[in-house]
Amino acid sequence: MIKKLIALLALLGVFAPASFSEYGDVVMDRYADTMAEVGLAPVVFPHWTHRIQFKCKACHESIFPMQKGASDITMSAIIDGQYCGQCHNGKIAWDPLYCDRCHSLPQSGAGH
Amino acid sequence: MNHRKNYRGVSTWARHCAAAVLLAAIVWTLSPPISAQESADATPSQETASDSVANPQNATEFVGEMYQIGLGWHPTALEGLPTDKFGLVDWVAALEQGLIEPRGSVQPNVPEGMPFDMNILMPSKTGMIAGAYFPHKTHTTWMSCDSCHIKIFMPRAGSNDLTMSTIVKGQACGVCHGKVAFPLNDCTRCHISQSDADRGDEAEQ
Repeated sequence: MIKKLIALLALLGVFAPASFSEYGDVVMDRYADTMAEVGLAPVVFPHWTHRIQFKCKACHESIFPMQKGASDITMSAIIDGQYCGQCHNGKIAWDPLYCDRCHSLPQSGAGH
Repeated sequence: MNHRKNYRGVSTWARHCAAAVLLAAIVWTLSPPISAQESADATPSQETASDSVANPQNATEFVGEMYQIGLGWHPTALEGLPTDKFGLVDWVAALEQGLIEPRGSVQPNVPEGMPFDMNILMPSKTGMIAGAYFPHKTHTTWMSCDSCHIKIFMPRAGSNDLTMSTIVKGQACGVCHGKVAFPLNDCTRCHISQSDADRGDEAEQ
């Protein structure tokens, strides 16, 4: 019954557009409430697109401990050169100016 | 045929057809399962099985979660990289084939230490499956020692009580495998026989 209901909703396009996620993606939504207030989606970190150019040890453990919730990542820390900002500073990788590249978790029902 | 059109220019016949399809879909949704057997089969497979019924001749029929992820969407940047049986990127193969050149440091041109080369064969506890083979080299090519030691594994033989039942719960190997490293249902990438492990060691030398 529930499966059928989901299938019907999918048939009617309720779940469109489809969400895009890759194996290994990490969703960062610690500040989801305050981000939503300013119209920002939670962050999706794509592990695998980073893995093309960097080994795990480039970031783990020196920049990011491999523990859920261990890193308090904020934009002020990033523009201060910490966390993502160690690369995303306009020198190694692109600057943290393209909000929707990271704040990209598909919002159900919302028009982000 | 000359159908009557309403003010939007849509024929009444087309509107009736659409309404009939919608009604049929709603009736189908609300209808009870065909048999009790069907619902009994469906409930556990939805919650527990990651690979229930699959036809190995046709990958599109695979129902396991990892196969579904493999068949799903992937970033354009990952196109052309070798894949495992799930259709997920085989990063070890990609590195061995020289298709990618990931660096070990955020900063460019930082010299990288040699990977630690020591293979560990953990004997099977049950005998119903081959022992598990752990190649340090493959792991330390990508990772630093402190990613695993000592917070996940004590670096001492016999001091880590590894079981699949804890690994599938996300402990030990399951901290990475099943989340970002290759999936846990790729059994024979770890569970290989002693003779296969010996052959692998000889091939390396």
